[in-house]
Amino acid sequence: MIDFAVKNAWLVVALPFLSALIITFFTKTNPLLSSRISRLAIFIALIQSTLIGIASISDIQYVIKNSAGSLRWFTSGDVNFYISWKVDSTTALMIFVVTLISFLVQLYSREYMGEYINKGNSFSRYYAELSLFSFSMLLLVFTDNFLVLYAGWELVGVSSFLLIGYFYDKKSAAVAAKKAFLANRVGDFGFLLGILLVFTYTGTLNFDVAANQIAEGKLSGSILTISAILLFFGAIGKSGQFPLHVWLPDAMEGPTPVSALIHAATMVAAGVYMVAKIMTIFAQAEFPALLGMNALDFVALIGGITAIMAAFIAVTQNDIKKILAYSTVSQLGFMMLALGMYTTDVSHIHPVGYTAAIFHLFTHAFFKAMLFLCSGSVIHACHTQDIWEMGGLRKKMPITAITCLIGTAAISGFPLTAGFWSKDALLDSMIIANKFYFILASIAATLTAFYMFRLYFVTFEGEYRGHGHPHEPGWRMKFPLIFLSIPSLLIGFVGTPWANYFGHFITYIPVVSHQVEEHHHGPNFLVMGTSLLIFIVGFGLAFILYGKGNYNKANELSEKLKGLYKASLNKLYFDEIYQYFIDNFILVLAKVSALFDKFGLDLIVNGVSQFFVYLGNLIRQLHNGKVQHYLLGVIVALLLMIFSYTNYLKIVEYKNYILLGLLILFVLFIIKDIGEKVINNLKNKFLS
Amino acid sequence: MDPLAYNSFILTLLIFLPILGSLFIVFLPEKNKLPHKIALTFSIITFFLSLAIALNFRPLPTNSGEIFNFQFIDKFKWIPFINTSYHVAIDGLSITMVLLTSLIMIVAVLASWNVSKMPKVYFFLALVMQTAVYGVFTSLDLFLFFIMWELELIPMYFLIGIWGGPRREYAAMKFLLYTSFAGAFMLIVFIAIYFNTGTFDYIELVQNNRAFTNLSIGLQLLAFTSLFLCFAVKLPMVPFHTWLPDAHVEAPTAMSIILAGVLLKMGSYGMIRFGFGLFPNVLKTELTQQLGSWANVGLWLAILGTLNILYGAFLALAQTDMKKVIAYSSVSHMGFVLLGMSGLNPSGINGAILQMFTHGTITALMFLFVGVVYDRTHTREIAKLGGLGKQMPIAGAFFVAISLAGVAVPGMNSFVSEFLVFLGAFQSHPYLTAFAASSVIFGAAYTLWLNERVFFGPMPSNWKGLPDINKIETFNAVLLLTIVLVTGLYPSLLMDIINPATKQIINILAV
Repeated sequence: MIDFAVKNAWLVVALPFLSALIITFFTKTNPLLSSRISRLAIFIALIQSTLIGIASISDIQYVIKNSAGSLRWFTSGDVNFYISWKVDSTTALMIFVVTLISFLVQLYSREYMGEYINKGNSFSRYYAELSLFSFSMLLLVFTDNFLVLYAGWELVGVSSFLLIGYFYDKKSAAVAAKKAFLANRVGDFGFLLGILLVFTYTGTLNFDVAANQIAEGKLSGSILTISAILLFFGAIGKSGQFPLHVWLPDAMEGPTPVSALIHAATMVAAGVYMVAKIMTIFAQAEFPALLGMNALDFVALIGGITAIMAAFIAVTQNDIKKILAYSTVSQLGFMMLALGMYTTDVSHIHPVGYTAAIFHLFTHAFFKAMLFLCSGSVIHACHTQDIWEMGGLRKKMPITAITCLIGTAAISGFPLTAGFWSKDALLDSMIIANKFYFILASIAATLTAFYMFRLYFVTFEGEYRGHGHPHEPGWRMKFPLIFLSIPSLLIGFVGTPWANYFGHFITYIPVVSHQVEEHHHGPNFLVMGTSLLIFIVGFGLAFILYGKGNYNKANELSEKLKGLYKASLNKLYFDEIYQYFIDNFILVLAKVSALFDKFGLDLIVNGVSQFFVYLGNLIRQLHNGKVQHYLLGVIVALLLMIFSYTNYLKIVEYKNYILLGLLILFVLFIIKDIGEKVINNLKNKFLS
Repeated sequence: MDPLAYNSFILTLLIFLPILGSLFIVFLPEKNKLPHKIALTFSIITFFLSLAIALNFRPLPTNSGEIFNFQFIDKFKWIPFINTSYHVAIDGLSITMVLLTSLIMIVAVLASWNVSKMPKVYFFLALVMQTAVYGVFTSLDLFLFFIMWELELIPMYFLIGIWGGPRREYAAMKFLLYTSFAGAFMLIVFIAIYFNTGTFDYIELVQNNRAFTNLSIGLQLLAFTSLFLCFAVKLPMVPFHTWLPDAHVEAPTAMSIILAGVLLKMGSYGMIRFGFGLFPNVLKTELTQQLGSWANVGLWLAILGTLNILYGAFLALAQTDMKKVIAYSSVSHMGFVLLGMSGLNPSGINGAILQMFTHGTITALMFLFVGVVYDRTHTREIAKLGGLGKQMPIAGAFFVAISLAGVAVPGMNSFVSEFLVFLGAFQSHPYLTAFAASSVIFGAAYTLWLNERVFFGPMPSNWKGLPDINKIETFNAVLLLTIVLVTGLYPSLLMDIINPATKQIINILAV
């Protein structure tokens, strides 16, 4: 069984793809059947991923050897481009997370999207798009080459575009879908160039081969660093990092289960996954090519900025999904920041935050998906996304409230929850590598605890401020919530500093093996103490300001810090700045080009044709109907002939001059005649 | 079918079948949509015949080192006086274009199903044009090529000029004059080649590489440039593109489909076949040492390609007319063909040829749907449209798929062609290609913007009650989208034919 699962690992990718095809082409008119096909496909994929996971834990070398495969996609010149795949420990982890969350979200959606069952094909479309997403995401994590990675990368963007724009007749959803796609494309522009650079220098698209070629010096120095940074641009776009984070909060226009799956747990983590997957390339890019930064410095810088910035914005948001969206951006920033943490020994870079980043990705996927599903449950019940129109929901929706509290505790780093251990690991890597980022991350983490408990208190405690009759959802929505609360509480124990099973499973393997100094000697109590302090401060502040159902203090504080409050509320004006840039540069340039095309180039083209028309009109004057003119022409022609063919007048020497003279006379005559015509015309036009 | 047999008449049959069809149309009555049906029958027959030819075509292995792989050769003396012959054949490059032509023709005939104004003349002209286009893509005699090239213009002139929009006469005349003016340059070069070598035969000329080799390199460069200019107008290359938006806006939907789907490719086909084939010396980098850095033809191609891509994209962004957006997107996408060619390496040229095919299929789809929208709303003003996806869900779904194909997402064939173009061009001209690659942003911007403004968002109330796409339109869309998807998911279907052909071009360039 396990053997079959490992040897046919590609089935995990193929199943959702098949489901998407079947729904699109055959069963779209039958919404319930479509949704069942989709859930069945992802459920089988989940079982297979679980089996692969079990196999990987027991013997990863066996899985790596037996799961790999490739198909020739196309050939150009003498280079074959393959669709190739390989399951290593990171991939095994990712496919488990992706299939699990996909399955739970699809189950949840059956009820959440229930009102669309009878609305044409839209319910089938929803499940087809979810299947397409699962396929794309699995393709992305399965492959071991850049081309297919890029393909999966673009395809998750496409499914995200389709799902954000699910309610396409809503203006804001349509605009948000477009914005998400374009912001991603900006990052992909860099990603594409990075891939082109790697291929041009190493002649391969395979991750491992490319990393080996780089180790051999085929690509090195500043170009290597620039390639790595360009590749990282892709991650900036996909994982909503500064300055391309603007699309992610807007992506909340999509259905909430989609936000849980794509914009919290899986797709947005693709950037982190990608950087981790090709860490061998990033770690070799140590030449400080960009303002004295090497590739990992740059990753850390972007991650750090993102973590603190998004946390700052999340503090004042009022839309429950937007808070969670900025929280996601911030958490992804943490992961990037950890990926950028490294120590150098001799001349080798060792990324100390590698395991921690993936660990946080792993735990975050569970509790963030759960938080989004909780918010979905709340939105489903209250028909609003504004937390100020909620309140007191704990009494009405106890299960949602408890699971949300668990999620909040986990993301805030409450001791012993999943988030506590992974955040601990993140901070641990920072204190080893860079104290500045340790402090920065601690501040951001404090803000996280604060805004998450603000969310919890305002939504679930105090008095109900809305106008509906909120109630608990049915089992299909409750089950994923309850199910996810288990790993949110307990999954962290696989990676405690005392017994780090996770760290043994996912570790960084350099291309050129060198003596790696062991960094993990067990628990660092300074870090753990800081973690606890972070939680207490964040929670305490939130409790004082929002915990008692009385928000006067919070309002007073926002009045006092008006500048900061406004900056945070308006998301640091990123949208406005970008809009200004687009309106005043891109669109103006487009309009100037259009004017140039119309009144520059086309005017020349039409001018040329007008010139010939004018010329034709001039010459037309020859045929003016005057017998004298024609006779003159006849005489001249006769004379020409006589002179050319005979030597009758014995004036051979002068023949050519005479010819020329005659011609000139003729032309002058005509010009005079035409001149008169033109002058007469003008006279008629202007003087009469 | 033996592809290697001489004078098997199979290819000749393909070329002249449409003319035969046009005669049927002329001599049979007009009632019961008979012209439509005859045209459809013949376009289907030609499609299957060209498919049969393609399936029987035997690509050479890529390492064969050959410079030709012409099959289905028909060759007869034609005008002995000027040593010209009727010489047609196909290779990997030709057959790709022939397949595209046959495919687009079916779509165009179906898209003309509602033509009621002089249908006999309309379909007569369309079929004559098909013959001319086949002739262009298969001629191996320069004289024959020129005749076919000019023959294509006349039907199109009438098709735009009679069945077009309000400014049809201006647009048709502009199209005709611009292209035939450029054709004069080609004629001059071909005559010069004839006087220099005494033959019009492409194979002889390339084999002996004697088109101009006995003349100074400067003269060769001049001849290449003149020829290039002629093809550049057809491509169309900025700044010679201004006929295209006018022609597209005025042309009836089916003619826009043919124009963008097939006719533009004549330009790039000519560049690769005759530009590269007859003047390999001009493309060599040693030329820059001899004449100075300005003589780097590959670099010029890259500059012009980049200009095409970005200028076209920016213009598309500024348009308010749906059809103009697509017209300028055509300019942008044909720039990829130029950029790919500029690489002068296998990936670049492969990408360029594949891009010709992918652009043909995708842009045809786009014009098809502009037609769908226009037929129902009688406007192409983007500002007046919106939310049509609610009213016409099937059309909306198709248009989203087409938009995604337009922005080259994986799974669509454009993804492979654009990737190959970038890959090839980047190796030769990294900075320019990087610049051009920013079109992945701008291209997505105008395509998705169009998609959003026309099919998404709330719908103005006056579009209530519009019917969704009918069976013929659905068939067209499904046919083309299937091709786009199949060749996108499994590009080897085409690449295994194109790649050997590219290799032969590379071999010619290396001579």
